[in-house]
This record gives sequence, C-alpha cells and structure tokens, in this order.
Amino acid sequence: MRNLTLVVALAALLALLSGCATNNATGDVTPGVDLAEFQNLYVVKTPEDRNGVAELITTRLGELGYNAASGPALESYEDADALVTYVDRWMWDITMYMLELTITVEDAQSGYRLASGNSLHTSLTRLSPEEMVDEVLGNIFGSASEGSE
Amino acid sequence: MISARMPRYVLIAFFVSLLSLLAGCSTVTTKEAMSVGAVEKAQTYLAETAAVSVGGEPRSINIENFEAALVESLLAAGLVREVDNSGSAPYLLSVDFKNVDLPMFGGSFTINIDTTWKVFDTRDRSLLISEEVASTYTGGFEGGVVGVNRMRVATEGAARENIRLGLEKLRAVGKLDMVPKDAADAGSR
Repeated sequence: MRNLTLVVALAALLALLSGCATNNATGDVTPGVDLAEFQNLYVVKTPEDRNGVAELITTRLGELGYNAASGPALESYEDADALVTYVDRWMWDITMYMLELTITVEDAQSGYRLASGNSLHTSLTRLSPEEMVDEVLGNIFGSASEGSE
Repeated sequence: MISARMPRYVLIAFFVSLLSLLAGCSTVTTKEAMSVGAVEKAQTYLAETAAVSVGGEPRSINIENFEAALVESLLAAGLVREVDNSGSAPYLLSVDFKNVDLPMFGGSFTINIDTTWKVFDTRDRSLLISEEVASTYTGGFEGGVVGVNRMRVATEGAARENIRLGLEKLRAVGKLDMVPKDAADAGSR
C-alpha cells in the first residue's frame, strides 16, 4: 500500500510541476508581399546544422518551383532575391527527434521579413525532419504554390 | 506483495500522467491575457495607419493570439489610428520572437522572452526603427496548481510584458514621418 501511495504521489507531483508545450503549426506572409516575386532563394546554413536541415529546405523549395541554393552566411547576397533562415530544436525521447522548426524568409537586401512559419510537435506527435520542413514550407508557400499549379 | 500490486498502481500512475499530458496539450495562450490593457495614451500617433506582422520562434505562444493582443494594445495605446493588413499600409511593424525560455519543471515558472521590433517603410522596404525587447515574468499559483496552467499564465505574463516594453520604445520615437531613413542600424538584422 505504501508503494502504491508513493507512486501515485510522485505521478501527481509530476503533473503539478511539469509544463507541456502545445503542438503548433503556423505560417504567415507579410501583408502586401507576393512571394512569387522572389524566385532566387538562398538558404543560410547555420554552423550548428549537423542534421542536413538546410539541404532539406533547399530541396523542398526546389520542388515548390523556386531556384534555391544553400550555403554559409555571407557578407552580401547580390544573386539572391530572398534569404531563408531557420532555427531547429531537437529533443531526446527514446530517440532524437525534431521538436520545433522555424523558417523565416526575408528580403536579401533590406532584411524586410517576407514570411515566416513555425511547427512544433512534441514526442507523441513527432514528425520526421522531412515532414517538419514540408509542413512549415507548406504553410508559408502553400497559397503561392497552389496559385502556380 | 509488490508484484501483486504493480499493475494497479502503474495503471493509476499512467492515467495521472496522461491527464497531465493532455491538459498541457490543450492550453493556448490567449489574446485577452497577453493584451496590455489600459495604458496612458501616446500624445501623437506613431503613424495613422500601419500593418502588423509577427514571426520568429514563438515556442508555446500562440502567434495569432499574440498578434491580436499586439494590435489591440497598439490601438489602446494610441500609437496608430488603424491597423491595416490588406497590403496598402505605408508602414509595417514587424515583431520577431528571437528566444523564449521555457523551464520544464518548477514550483514557480520564470519565462524570458526576447523579441526584435522593427518598423519598415513599406514603399521602399527601408528599415526605420529596430529595437530589442527583453521581458521576464515569474508566475506563482495564479494559474492554479497544475503545472501546464501555471506555465501558460507565466508565458502570457512574459508576452504581455514584452508588448508593454515594446510599446514604450515605440512611444519614445514620436511620429514616424519625422524619422530619417538612416536612423535605424541597417546592420542590426
């Protein structure tokens, strides 16, 4: 009986002390921006990216019909219309998984934010990195790609 | 004796944990809780009309509700007469979440939020204002005793404080059409 009480008490304590993030998927294009005007996109690879996220984004942008390339941050981006930056967060739960991905698209010259999207999936609803990239870019470019089909 | 009771208390522990998990996945930061509310009105409009856009990495903050709270607070503070997101506004207020620190466990949750507030002239997309805003809020038990609710209330508090601090910085600018184009540090991005 003591063991039963102890386990229930510990579980209740965990419930009281823990915080759980909600699953989220958002995408927003800045008012007045037509993403179709920005055909040459440069994905700025972060130095910490050891999971090939920049390549996944670049590949998916190509599939959406954009001329996309990736590489390190540069002094200037004369050949690019827009920069694509991202933040990926990973978590361990039995295996490593991508908890959250944020992608921002901004004017390569002025830094004007053109669009951004974010997906957060906790362990029980985890997605593969490819699916996370697909979800975020789908939310950002969804209307543009639908219009071009 | 322990093995005989094992399935029962493991089952109870599982359901308590599941309840906690499901409750956490249903809490959403609300517009009402993130709005600044009654504040001293600015003496002059920053701009008659402006568009508002929020992006970046919001973590568990509901970005649509944050944007709605920001718009409501901007109007209440008298910094703009109208928010127009149709694409024809002459100015854009762009708020980006740079960092949201969320603790995993605790009796009282302290949330830190870092955002960048930028104002652009939409006609040539030039940067007029760039401000970093850092806010902190420690929630007690005003959200109840369940962790996920206390986390939500603390997050809403930090978001509300971030909006309040951002509005203060905008209020100090005055009128946007008096701000020279080279006033903002273009290299800050």
